[in-house]
Amino acid sequence: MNIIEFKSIIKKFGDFIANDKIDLIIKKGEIHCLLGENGAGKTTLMNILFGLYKPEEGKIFLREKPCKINNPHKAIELGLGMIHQHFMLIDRLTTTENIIVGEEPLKNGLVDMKKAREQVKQISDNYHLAIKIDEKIENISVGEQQRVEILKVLFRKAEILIFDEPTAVLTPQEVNNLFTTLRELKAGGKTIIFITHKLEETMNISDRVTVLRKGKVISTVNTCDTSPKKLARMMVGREVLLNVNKEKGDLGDKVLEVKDLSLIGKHKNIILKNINISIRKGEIVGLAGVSGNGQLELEECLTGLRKVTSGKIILGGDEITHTPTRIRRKKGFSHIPSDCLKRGLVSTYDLTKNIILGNQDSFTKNGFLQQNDINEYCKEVIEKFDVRCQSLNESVNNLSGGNQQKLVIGRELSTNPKFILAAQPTRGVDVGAIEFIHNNILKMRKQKKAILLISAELEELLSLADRILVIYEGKIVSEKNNYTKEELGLLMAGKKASDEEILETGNRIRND
Amino acid sequence: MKRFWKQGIEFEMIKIFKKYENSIYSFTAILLAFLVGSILIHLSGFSVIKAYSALFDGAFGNVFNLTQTLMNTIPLIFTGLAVAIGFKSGLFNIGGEGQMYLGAFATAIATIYLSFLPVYILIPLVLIIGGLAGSAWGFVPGYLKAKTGAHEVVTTIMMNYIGILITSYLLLKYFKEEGPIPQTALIPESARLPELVEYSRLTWAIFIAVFVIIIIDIFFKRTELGYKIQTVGENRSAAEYAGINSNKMMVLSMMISGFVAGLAGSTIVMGVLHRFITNFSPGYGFTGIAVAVLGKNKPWGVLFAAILFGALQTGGITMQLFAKIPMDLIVIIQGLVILFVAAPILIKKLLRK
Amino acid sequence: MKKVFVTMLILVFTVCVFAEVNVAIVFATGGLGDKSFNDAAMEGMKMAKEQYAIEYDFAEPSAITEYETYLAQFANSKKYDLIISIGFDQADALTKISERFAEQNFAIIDMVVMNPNVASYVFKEQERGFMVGYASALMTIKTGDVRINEDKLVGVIGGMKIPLIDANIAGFMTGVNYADNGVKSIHSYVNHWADPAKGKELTLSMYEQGADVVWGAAGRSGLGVINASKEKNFYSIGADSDQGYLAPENVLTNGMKRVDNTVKIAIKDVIDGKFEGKIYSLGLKEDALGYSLNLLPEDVIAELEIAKKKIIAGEIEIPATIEEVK
Repeated sequence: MNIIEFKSIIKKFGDFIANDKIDLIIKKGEIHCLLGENGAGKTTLMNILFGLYKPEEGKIFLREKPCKINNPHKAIELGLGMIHQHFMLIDRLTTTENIIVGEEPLKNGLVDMKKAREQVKQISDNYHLAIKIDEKIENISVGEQQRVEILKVLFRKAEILIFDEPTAVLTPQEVNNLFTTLRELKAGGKTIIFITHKLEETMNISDRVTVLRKGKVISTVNTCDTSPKKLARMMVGREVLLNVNKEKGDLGDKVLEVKDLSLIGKHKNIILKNINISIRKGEIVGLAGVSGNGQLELEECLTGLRKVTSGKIILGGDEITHTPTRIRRKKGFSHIPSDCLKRGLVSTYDLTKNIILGNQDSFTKNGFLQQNDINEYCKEVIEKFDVRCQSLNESVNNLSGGNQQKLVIGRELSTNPKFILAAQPTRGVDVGAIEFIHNNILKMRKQKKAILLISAELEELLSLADRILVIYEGKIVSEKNNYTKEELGLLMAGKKASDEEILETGNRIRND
Repeated sequence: MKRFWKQGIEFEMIKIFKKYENSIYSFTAILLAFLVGSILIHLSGFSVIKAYSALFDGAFGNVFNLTQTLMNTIPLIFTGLAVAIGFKSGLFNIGGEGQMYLGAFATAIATIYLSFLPVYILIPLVLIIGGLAGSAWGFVPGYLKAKTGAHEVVTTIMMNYIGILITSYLLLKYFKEEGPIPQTALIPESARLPELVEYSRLTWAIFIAVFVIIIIDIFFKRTELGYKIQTVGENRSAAEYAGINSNKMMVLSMMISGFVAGLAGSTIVMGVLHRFITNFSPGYGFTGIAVAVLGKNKPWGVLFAAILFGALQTGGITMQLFAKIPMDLIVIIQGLVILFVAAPILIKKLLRK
Repeated sequence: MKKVFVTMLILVFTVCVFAEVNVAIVFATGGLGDKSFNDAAMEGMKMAKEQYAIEYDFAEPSAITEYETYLAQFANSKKYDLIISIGFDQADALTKISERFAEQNFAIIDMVVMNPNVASYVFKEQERGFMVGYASALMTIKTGDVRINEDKLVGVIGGMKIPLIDANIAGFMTGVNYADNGVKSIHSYVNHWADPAKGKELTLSMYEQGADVVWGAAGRSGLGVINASKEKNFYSIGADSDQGYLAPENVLTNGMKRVDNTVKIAIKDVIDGKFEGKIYSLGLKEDALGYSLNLLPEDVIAELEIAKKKIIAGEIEIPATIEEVK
C-alpha cells in the first residue's frame, strides 16, 4: 500500500524553487531514504508533509486518500511524527515529562504521573528504547535524548516517522543503536522516512532511496539495486571520487610537539592524560576517537582556549603552553574548529566579517578596518575555496552548511599557517564538499604544512592521515600508520585489539 | 522551530523589504501602540483626536515646542546609545542612570574649578571629564563581569544606587551651595553651552549628540576595536576562538558605554540646569533602554527612537495641560511601543498574513 | 438708543466684575498624593475655586528639568492671571521664566525670587517652632501618661543646619523657655532631608537622654522621628502637614505650614488687585502657620491659644537664630 504519495509538489520561497514538481511514493512499512545534498529540498518537502509549509501546487495522498495538512497538529493527528535534527526537548524537565508534554494523561484535572510513567515504560519496552524515565534531559546523552524524541512521537501514536538527519549528532555506537531501533520500528509495522546526505547510512538502513537534487526528484531506486558510487553521482550530478589519492611526501622538521599534556577537570576527573604528539612538516597526523573522549578538550588546549594542567605545547620551536590564542595564531597556528557554528562563524555577520575573523588585525591601519583590502581578500578566498554565495555582504546564515564549512576552511588555510588543527572538518557536510575539503587538506600537506586531523570518520582518517593516534578516555591508546578499518573502529571503542575480536567486529561491520 | 522560521522568512521576504525590515517593524510597533493608546483614551472618556492633536502640537506645533522636544531628546540619545553600545558586546547595561549622575556631577564640579580656562579648552575638557566619570562607573560592572562573572544586570542596577547616592553625599558634604536646595553653585557662564533658540534650553548639545552618534556608528562599522567588541557580543565562543580577549572587550565596551551615558549628564549640566542638583533625572538612563530597544541598537535608530520618546514626553506636557489628559497615558504609550517592539514575532506574523 | 447703550454698559460691567480669574499652578516633583506640600496647595486651589469662583489648571512635573517647560507653557498661553510655583527647587526655573515673561504675574511659595513680577511667600518659621516648643514644655511635665517620663527634657531634630531650620529650632527653644517651668530643650541635625533611618537614630538617642517629646523638622527624615516614638511609645511632633495618621497614639501635634491658606492668600491678592512683586512673610496671624490639635489636651490648647494671640499682637518676641535665644 502507498501510505504517502506526493503529486507534483511545488514550493517556492520568493524566486527560489525549493521543491520542483516532486512526485514521490512512500510504501507502508518501508524505510525510505531521502538522499540529497544540503539545500536539495529534502527538509522542505518533509515540512510540507508535516504541515509547516503550504505548497504552491500539488497534492498529498495519505493512505491513498487526498488530504490537506495545514499544521503540525493535523499531521500528528494523522499519525505522522517528526524527529528533528536539533532536539526539541526541555532540559529542565525529566524524560517522561518531555514525552508527555501536551498530551498528559489526566486524573482529576491533574497530571497523572504514575500513569504517564507506565505508558512511557510500556512503549520504551516494546521497541527496546531504553531510557531513564525520571532523569532530567540535561543529564542524559545525546543518543538517549534522541530516543526520548522517538518515544515522544510514538507516544502520540505515530505510524509514519520522519527522521531529519538523525545521525549527525551521534557517535558511531549510537548510530548502530539507532539503526537497530529503526529496524525494530519497521518490524512493528511503522513506516520510516529517513532524511540524510550520507551514502553509507543510506546503503546500510534503507529499503528504497529517493535522490533529490536542486529541488527535483532525480530517481527512486531499490537500495539493493544501487551502489554508493551511483548514488553519489545522482546526488552531486557528476562523478565523485570517494577515495582520495595521496602521494608519499618527505617529512621535514618537527612543527608541533605536545609533551606529556594532562588536563584535570573541575571535579578532579582526568580529562587528558600524558598526551604526546609530534607532527612534522608535510605530515598529516590523525587523531581518531569517538566524540567525548577528550578530543574537544585537546583541541581547546592546543588553541589556548583552555589552560592545561601540566605538560608542554611547542610550536615551531617556541613553547606556547601559556600563550594566548591571539599570539598562537600570529605564530602560524590555524584552526578549523570542530563546532563550526559555535566557534568558527558569527552567524549574524556577513561573509567578509567572517573571513577576517581571527585575522582582522592584518587588515587594520591606524585602528580602522581597510574595507577595500578586505573585499579583495575575501573575493580571493571565496573563489579559491568555491564558497557559493550571492554576494560578499550577505549573511553567512544564508549559506548552506557545506559552504559555511568551506568558508571556515578557506579562511584558516589562506593565512599561510605553519600548523593546521583540523577538527572534524567534514562533519555535517555533503559528499561533494567532503571531496573538496579532503583535496584541500592534502594540498596543504603538499605545501609542507603540519596537520593534525581530529576525526571520528574512519574513512577520512584512513585515506588522509600518514599516521593515526587513537584517543580513548583521554589517553592515546594506540599509534600506527597502517590500521584496518575494523582495528581502528575497535580501538576507538576502547577495546584491546586482539585478533579474535578484530575478526568478530569485522564480520559485524560487514554484516551491517 | 527556529530553523523553519529562518528558512521561511529568509526566502519569502522580498529583498527591499528585508533591507528595511527593522524600520518597518519598529514603525508598525509605534503605530500599533498609538492605536491601542487611542482605544484607551476613548475608553477613559477623552477625545482621541483632541488628545493626539494636542500631543503632536505640543511636540512639533511651533518652534518653541520643537526645541523642547529636541531638548528632551538629547539625554535620551546619549543614554540610548550607551545601552546600545553595551548590547553590542552582549552586555545589558542598565547602569546608564548612575553613569549619567557621575558624568553630571564630575562636569559640574570640574567646571567650577576650571573656570579660568578659555572656553574652547574648558568645554571639551569638562565634557571629557564627565564622560570619564561615567566611564569609571561603567568599568566597575565590566571588570566584575570579566573577573568574577557577576551578572552585569545586577551590578549595574546596584551601581545606579551607589552612583546617585554618592554624588548626593559628595554634594552635601563638600560642594553644596548655601540654601535649602541640595545643589552646587551655578557653573560659570563660559561653560554654559550656547542656546540655539533664546529661552529654549536647546543648546549646542544636540550637535554633540549627533556627533557622538556618527563616531559610534563609524566605530562599530569601521574600526578593528569595534569589530572585536561586536564579535564578542555576537558570539563569544567564536571571538575567543579568533584570539579576541573577550573579557577585555567587555570591560572596554562598558567603559565606552559609561562614557556616553556620562555625556548625558554633562550636557544636562552644561545646557539645561547649569548646575548639579540631586535627583535631577526623571529616569533618562532607564528610558534609554527603551530607546535602544526601539532603535534596534543601531546608532541612527537610537536617534529616531530618542526623538520619538522626547516628542512623547514634550507633547505629553501639552496634552496634560491643555487637553487635560493625564500624563500617565504617555507612559502607557511608551510602554506599548516597547511591548510591540519586543514582541517582533507577533508583528512579523501580523505582517505575513 | 440710550437704553441699549446703558444695557450694554451694564453687561460689560457685569462681565468685568464676574470675569473669571484663571490661575495655574506647577507642583513640586513629588506630584499629587505626596500628603504634603503639593496636596496642601491643591487643597488651597480648591478652596479658592469655591470661595472666589476662580478657574485653575495644574501641572505635575516629573523632573526638575521640566519646571521651566511647564512654566513657559503656562506663561506662553497668556491665559492666566497668576502662575504659582510650589517648592523651593523651582527658583532657578522661575527666575528665568519670570524674566522672559515680564508681563506675567507669578508667585512662589517657600522661596524667594527677586523679580518685580514674582510675589514670594515665605514663612516666619520661628512662630510655629514657638508653638510646638511651648506645647512640648507643657506636656513633658504631665503625670499619669505612660508616654511621659520624669525627666524635664524635650528635643528637636533639624534636617540640616540652614537658616530656615534654625529659625524653627530657635522658635522651639524660645517656646520651651517661655513655659518657664524648668524644662530644658536639646537639638541636633540629620544633615539630610531624606534619611529616616538617621532621624530615628538621633531620636532614640534623645529619648535615652530623657527626652519624651521630640519634634522632627527634617523633611522626610522626620518620618524616623515619628517611627521612633511609635516604637518606644513616647511623643513626637510632625511638621508641615498633619502626620498624625502615621502614629495616631504618638503624634502629639504638628508644626503646620498651611500651604493651602498661603495659596489662597496669593490668589486673593490677585483678585483684589493687590499683587506686588515682593517678599511676603506669613505667620500665625495669616493662618499660614499653626499647629494641629491631634493629642493635645484641652488645657494645653488653651495655653497655646493665649500665646498665639500674644504673638499676633507682637507681645512676644521670637528670635530667628539660635544664637539670639536667651
